[in-house]
Amino acid sequence: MSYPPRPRPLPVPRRRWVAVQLGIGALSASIVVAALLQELRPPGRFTFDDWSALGFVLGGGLSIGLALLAVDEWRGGSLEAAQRRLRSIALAALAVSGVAIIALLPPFQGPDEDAHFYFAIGRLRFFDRSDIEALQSHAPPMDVAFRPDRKIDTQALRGSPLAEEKTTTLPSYGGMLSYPAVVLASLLLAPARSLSTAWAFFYACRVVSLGLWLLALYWLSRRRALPMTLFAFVSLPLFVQQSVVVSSDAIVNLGALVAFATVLLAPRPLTWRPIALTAIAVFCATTGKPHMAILSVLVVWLVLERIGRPRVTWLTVAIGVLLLPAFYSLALSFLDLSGAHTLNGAADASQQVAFLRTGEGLDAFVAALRERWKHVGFLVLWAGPLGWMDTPIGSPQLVALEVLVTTAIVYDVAAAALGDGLRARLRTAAPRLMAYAAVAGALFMATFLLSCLAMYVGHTPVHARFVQGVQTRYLFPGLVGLAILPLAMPPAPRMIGTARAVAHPVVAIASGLWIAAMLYATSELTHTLIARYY
Amino acid sequence: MKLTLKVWRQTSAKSRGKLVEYAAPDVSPDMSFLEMLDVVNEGLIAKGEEPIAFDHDCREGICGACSLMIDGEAHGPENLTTTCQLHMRKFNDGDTITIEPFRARAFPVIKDLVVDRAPFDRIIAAGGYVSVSTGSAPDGNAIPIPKDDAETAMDAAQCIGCGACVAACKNASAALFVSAKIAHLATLPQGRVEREARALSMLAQADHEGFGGCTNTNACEAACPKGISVSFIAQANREYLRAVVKKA
Repeated sequence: MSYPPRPRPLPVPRRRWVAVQLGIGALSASIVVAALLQELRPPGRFTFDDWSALGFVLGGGLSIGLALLAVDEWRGGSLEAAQRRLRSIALAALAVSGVAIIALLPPFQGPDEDAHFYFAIGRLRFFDRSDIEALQSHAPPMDVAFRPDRKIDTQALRGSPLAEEKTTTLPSYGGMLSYPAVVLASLLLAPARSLSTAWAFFYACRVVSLGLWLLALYWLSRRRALPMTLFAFVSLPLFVQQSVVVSSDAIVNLGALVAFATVLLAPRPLTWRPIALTAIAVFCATTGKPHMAILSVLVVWLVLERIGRPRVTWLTVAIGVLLLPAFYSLALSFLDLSGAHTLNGAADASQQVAFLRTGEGLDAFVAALRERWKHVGFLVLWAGPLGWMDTPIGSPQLVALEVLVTTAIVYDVAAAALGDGLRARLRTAAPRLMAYAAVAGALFMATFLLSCLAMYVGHTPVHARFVQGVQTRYLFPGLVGLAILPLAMPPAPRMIGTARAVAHPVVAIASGLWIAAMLYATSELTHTLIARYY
Repeated sequence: MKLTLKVWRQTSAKSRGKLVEYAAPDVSPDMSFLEMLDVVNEGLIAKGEEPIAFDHDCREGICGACSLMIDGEAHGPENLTTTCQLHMRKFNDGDTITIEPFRARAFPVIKDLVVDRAPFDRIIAAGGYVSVSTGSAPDGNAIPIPKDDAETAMDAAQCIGCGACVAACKNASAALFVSAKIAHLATLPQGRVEREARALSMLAQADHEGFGGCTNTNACEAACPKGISVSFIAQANREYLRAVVKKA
């Protein structure tokens, strides 16, 4: 197949076109300079107000975008290269904000970061073969002078008046672990036996989590042109913060991403290799969260597809999506894995179940679900209550993050609309697209409903108006399914003619806006961290 | 107002409890929630039934004794308000109100709505005090304290130890209570002398009592009748880190 020769971007002389771009770029740059001068007025600190932030992002974005376009014109760069560059910028931004968080954020600033760390350190000791016997006897000889998780070590509490009374079995660690990050870190470092090695392990967990996340995105972006919306969302500093700090939650999302991608990208007819990869990705996800069960449906899906019974496959997936996670979620609720409520009869899950069986109870649950659903669209809640640790996200930061996502959505829509043969592509891909949409939608709704149901039964008091304990980030696996949906479409054909001439400036300016907004968001993150902790 | 109450009844710590329905036909909107329970109890006593046991003391929102889950929320539906300061005008005529004791493994039910909150006392006993001689009130006033520190310490000192944070947390964590006490004392010069030992001992005691780890959902801050911030939890973590590093 041969492509037609690339036409001129616009039917105007090249030099004049470049001059116009540079002129608008200079004008935009002057807006940035004005915004900076505004910031330099007394007291002379860069605490961007809303207007100067908007000027910085829009002016800066436009000038960078036009500069990129001018460079492309001058060097004869292609539209495809410009699109790849935008994703590379997103990856680079993710890396920069991740490194900034790792470097600037002192340990244990998130209220529950210590718990995640001690789960990890507990698992790390599991891989130290010489300690297995000691672990099995429930008396791990830890001498790490950290605050121990109550299941690990009480001897470390030097100066504590407590006697040695608490021991817990090793399996109780199982639910919350981030296996890949910890296994990789354990390959790099010996088990922590002193304060200094524990520190090293702590930072290794952060670095490995970020590295895994970057690798997964890089691999996926090499295989297919992922939608920019997905890239934008997972590159946000608030998301990266979770990947870096709360590694067990990051890993479930990473596992979900890899598992979904394998299901969708695996060459057909299937071989056992992608099935094994999916199974490993699902295994990598933490097992302690209700949404883990939804991922296991993907393995069942691939196995049945490999066997070659399409009707049985779809029927099983449909039933599995509904039943398996429900069973898993309810089992988790009744087991009350945390054991925090078990001795208090009033907190017995059977009370809530009995209440649910009544019409009144069901109404209360539906009302609580509605209340929860109202908040799903709030971007800030996807970060969970972490914010940037104990410092809430400021409104300028939030605006920058919203600009990032909005720019990406506009870009994706524009790219799809500008693509030649969109109708033909949609017609060709319709059955596949609808099937994926149905599964992705069902998975998202199942994730939402079951996370809420598990928390309602297990942790919410009778007659409560809201579901206690659900964090929006629990819905990430379901969201990943929706985000990868465009992959069901066949690759876009090469754009030609006017569409291409319009698409290139759109991509360039979107890139510029993206860079400016990400610069602003990352600088705000850095400023917040430095102001809070240094 | 005519109300229907679903109240948790449990005769002793070891018996099995259940929700029992009562009618409350003559409730004034101006009553406090505890006064409404008093009226219901008078009716029960008149009928020869066992009155509902519930904790109360000052009834002016500063002792933390009144601790009920009302329609699934610690201290009821009004923000920044204790049960004793909650008035019936917050409810509607004909409402059904579910009343349970605070929910936590570390707070075992003693009877009906009364739970044992002695673990909080033991956490305070583990280090929530100043044992050095700081002189009398004039001596205290002679110590210069930055305004921000004083404000932070006062914010933390507002904790009344009611246990709402524990009851609201899905992991029954006492992190907010413990951190408020640690932060309160560690922020002031009088409390800094023993800050390391205090952080170690109080956190150890909290673990020992069976409270869960922080779940990071901010439910504790939302339920707290005094608006204690989760920032203190992070501050307590830093205090612990400091103690560990200094002792290592």
